[in-house]
Amino acid sequence: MDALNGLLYGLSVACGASNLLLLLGGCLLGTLVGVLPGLGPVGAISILLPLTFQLPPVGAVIMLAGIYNGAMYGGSTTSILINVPGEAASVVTCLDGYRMAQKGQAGQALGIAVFGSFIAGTLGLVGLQIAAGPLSALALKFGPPEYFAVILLGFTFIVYLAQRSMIKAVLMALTGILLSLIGLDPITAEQRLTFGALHLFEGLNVVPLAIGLFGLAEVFGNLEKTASAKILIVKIRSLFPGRRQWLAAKWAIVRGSVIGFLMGILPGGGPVLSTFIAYGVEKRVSRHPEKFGQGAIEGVAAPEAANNAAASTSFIPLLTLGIPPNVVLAVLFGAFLIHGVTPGPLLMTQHPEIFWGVIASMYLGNVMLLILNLPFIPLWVQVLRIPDRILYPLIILFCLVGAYSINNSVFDIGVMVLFGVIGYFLKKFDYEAAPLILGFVLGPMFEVNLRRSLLMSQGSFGIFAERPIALAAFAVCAVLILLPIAKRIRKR
Amino acid sequence: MNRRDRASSIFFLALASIVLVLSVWQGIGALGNPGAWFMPFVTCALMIFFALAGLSAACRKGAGAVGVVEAWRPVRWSKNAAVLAVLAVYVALLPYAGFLIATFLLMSVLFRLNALTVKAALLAACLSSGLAYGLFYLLLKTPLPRGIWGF
Repeated sequence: MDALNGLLYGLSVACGASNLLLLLGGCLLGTLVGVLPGLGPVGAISILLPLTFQLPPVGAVIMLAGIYNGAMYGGSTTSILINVPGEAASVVTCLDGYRMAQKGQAGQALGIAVFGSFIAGTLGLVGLQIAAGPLSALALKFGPPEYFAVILLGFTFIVYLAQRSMIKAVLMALTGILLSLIGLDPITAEQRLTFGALHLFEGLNVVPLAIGLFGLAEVFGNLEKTASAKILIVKIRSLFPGRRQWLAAKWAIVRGSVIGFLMGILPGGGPVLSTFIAYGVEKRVSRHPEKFGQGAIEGVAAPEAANNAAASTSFIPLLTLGIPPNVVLAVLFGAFLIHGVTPGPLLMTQHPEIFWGVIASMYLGNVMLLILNLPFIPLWVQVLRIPDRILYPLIILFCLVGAYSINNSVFDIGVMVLFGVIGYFLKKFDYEAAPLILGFVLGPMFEVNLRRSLLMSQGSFGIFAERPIALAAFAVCAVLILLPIAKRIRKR
Repeated sequence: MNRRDRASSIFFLALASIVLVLSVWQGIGALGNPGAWFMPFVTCALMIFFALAGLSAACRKGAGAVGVVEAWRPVRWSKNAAVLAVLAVYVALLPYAGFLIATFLLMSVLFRLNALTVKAALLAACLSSGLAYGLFYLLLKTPLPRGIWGF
């Protein structure tokens, strides 16, 4: 099926009444969670996952994709109105978005964020649609050495692009891999790190881990704060940017889209990092860099475009190679598996309704979010007024039910609480939780492919040099590892 | 790097060392036929290497301004400790009391801890646990724990 026919088929799936309703629900729920400060798309997808259990796989995946897209759109509202990012990818939007709101241009800031997101998200989807077919065909030629090398490349990127210390990112990824090894060995069925506990035989589930690290840990982090954010009281006159603002923002949207497109595909890149790069690039190319941080509309348009383009293209490695490039997609990967669908090169042929249905629903979701977001902004502002003392206990309740309903197990609640505490401490000690989740999700694939490669080669690592794709991946890994070392030596 | 980095590096070093010893003890197999404990061994060996790298970087740069205790000083960490204790009790109570009762009790305490009056906390707990039960158990058919009273 070519890209155009695939899209038409996908539209026929996504346009079914029930799927459209699920997409709408997902977009609204995602935007709601994106608007609420502290709870990002990872927490949202993990916590809301039980809502999809009774749904057919196509509907469930469409709803989850809607939640993801909605959260990416919704995060900017809090950044602009209260200077508190709704999710990590909206941190940069605070810099100029809030200043615009202070100057009485809250409507235009929100408007350009929504329009920029729509344009970039749609461009990203076009790329996803075009690249998915050829990449899936290529991935079918992959054997264990290629898979191992590509996953290793993913880990290297995750560490290379880490927002804080690289050593800490490596330690987190390795901890994730170690946690993924708990349970029965996939090849020999021998018990590992279970200490005889029956609940650990099947290993830990990614969802309680993610809810703990990204949901409960956020609540713990917010509960201890002594002051709450104040909402800027603004009258939103017009959500449509003026002609001059459009002219100022148009190239920022284009550049943001291109950066987001590329960063979305890279493992470890994703929406968050793309916003920082897009903002930096925009400031560098601007004739008036001094205006950045003072309410420059380009400072809102570029990161918002980048994060939405990246959100779309990050589906490329997941759907074609079965490798989640960032933490949100890692949780989505877990959600796919729960619904009996294995993302990867065979998805397009075995489940075309899901593959093309998701892509088509993302197009539709973008349109829905554009239409819904503008009139709903006053409602989202009201949501922001829900007091923390009501909100946080409710988030904890959703975390509890979310963790329980994966396996109907109280043990999973305990795991979630434990990882909530671990997530809280990780923050205190300045560790990022994202590489841990990625390590956890990629760990089993990493192990199985390494061991199979070694079995195939009878213990020789030369097998990785004999395969061109594996060799190329290793070469890129080497460059990425040597680059920071060379930089450091040059500094000295 | 600061004192917190030293402490965390030592923690990872200890954790990885324990699992490494355990892996060797259980048998890692050979390169041509890696055993079940091969991957834990490799992972922990790498963890030890990077924990040592982190530790040496932390020691080289000396103790920074932010220590282990300072990270908790300006915040209300006691509230987190209370929430954590309540959650631990909830996990223990859930299989016996069932979802509805255990959740009602949990939410009452959580709302009360978040400075709601007793009446408001009870009302909010009643509403939230009831709505969650309705949504997940009755509507979405999630088999929530029933407890000894059957609900």
